[in-house]
Amino acid sequence: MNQGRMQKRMLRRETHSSRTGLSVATAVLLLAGFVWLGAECVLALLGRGPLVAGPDAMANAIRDLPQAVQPAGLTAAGTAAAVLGAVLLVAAVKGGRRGRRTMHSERLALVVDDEAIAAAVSRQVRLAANLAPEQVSTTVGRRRAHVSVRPTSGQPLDREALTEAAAREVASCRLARNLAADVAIAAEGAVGR
Amino acid sequence: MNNTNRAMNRTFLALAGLILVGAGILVAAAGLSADVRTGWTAVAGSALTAWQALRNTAPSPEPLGSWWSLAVPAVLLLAALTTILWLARQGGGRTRTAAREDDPELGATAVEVSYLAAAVEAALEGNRSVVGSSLTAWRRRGSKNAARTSLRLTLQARRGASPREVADVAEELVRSIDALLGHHTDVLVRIGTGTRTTLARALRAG
Repeated sequence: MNQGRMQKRMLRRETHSSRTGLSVATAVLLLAGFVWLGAECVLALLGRGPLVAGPDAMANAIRDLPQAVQPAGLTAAGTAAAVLGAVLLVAAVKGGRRGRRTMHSERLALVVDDEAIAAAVSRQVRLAANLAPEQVSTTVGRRRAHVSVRPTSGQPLDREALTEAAAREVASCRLARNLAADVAIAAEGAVGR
Repeated sequence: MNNTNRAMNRTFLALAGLILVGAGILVAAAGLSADVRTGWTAVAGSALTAWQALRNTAPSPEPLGSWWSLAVPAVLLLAALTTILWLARQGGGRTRTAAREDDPELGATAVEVSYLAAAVEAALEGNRSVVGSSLTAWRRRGSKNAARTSLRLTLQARRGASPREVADVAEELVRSIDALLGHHTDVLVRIGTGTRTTLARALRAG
């Protein structure tokens, strides 16, 4: 594997979920099922009493299931199982992006948490507007960083300038895919300090 | 970072999902339609009859009755073993050796990750934008070759520190690691925030 491909692979693995948790949980349930069914079979072969129900009783119960259970109950149970299956299917197919993204680097496979970007953007906007830390908050979404600012009462803010400060910080990160920055200034001001 | 086979994880989840969806739809249909209910009983009944016929093809002394009865627990055991193997394959690949060089004359030299981690820690002492670091190494599955070891460096940025500044620090660190080890290593760097970030004071304006 050459270096570029290795780097790409590392980045992809770091920014996306491995689905290990869900797959381990499913495998453990499956294992419990196999072990139980196996134990029932062996007990039946040895002529001992079953744990819950012997293999023959189970087979008959499955055959008579539609007669033994109310149709509404069948529908409900079936729907629940189908929904659970759909959840697994979606988890298998969806990307599973984590809140991290790739930064450009010559030498490294470089990944940054969205949270770290948000904190840096907040700080730059705060410095540009001369505000207290709790007056600025930033959330980083998939394609944009959204900054919300609560101005100090009686001191109007220049939205353009703040947007530029935010955009400059985002650009300085040199992300593999740039984020757009937008600033929202709250109508209600904070009491000055 | 580890050696989990992600494609296999997803395939497994997709298969389990498909089976569940299929079974769910079948059961729900049985609840909704009387035709499906009678069909169900007929199919299950004939399957049981077929199983009895199969059992009679290979009779064995009591209490077994038929050799086929032994096949079911055997298959289940095999399935259980496969699942255990599957679980054991998750993760793995972590190693304590960051690099290793075998020289026929000088002998083998191995560099422990903890040594590099301590060096990184020392280099970051007093750094304004980084509050913590951790370094781990992992080896790709099936390669004993030490050159195939990759490093993962996590730097915890101080709240508000510019990611690019931290990235520059990381590049500097990795250059030093390259110089220490004497060869180019694949390095994954993650700039994160964590408990240390939350507890440390935010980066204040000048």
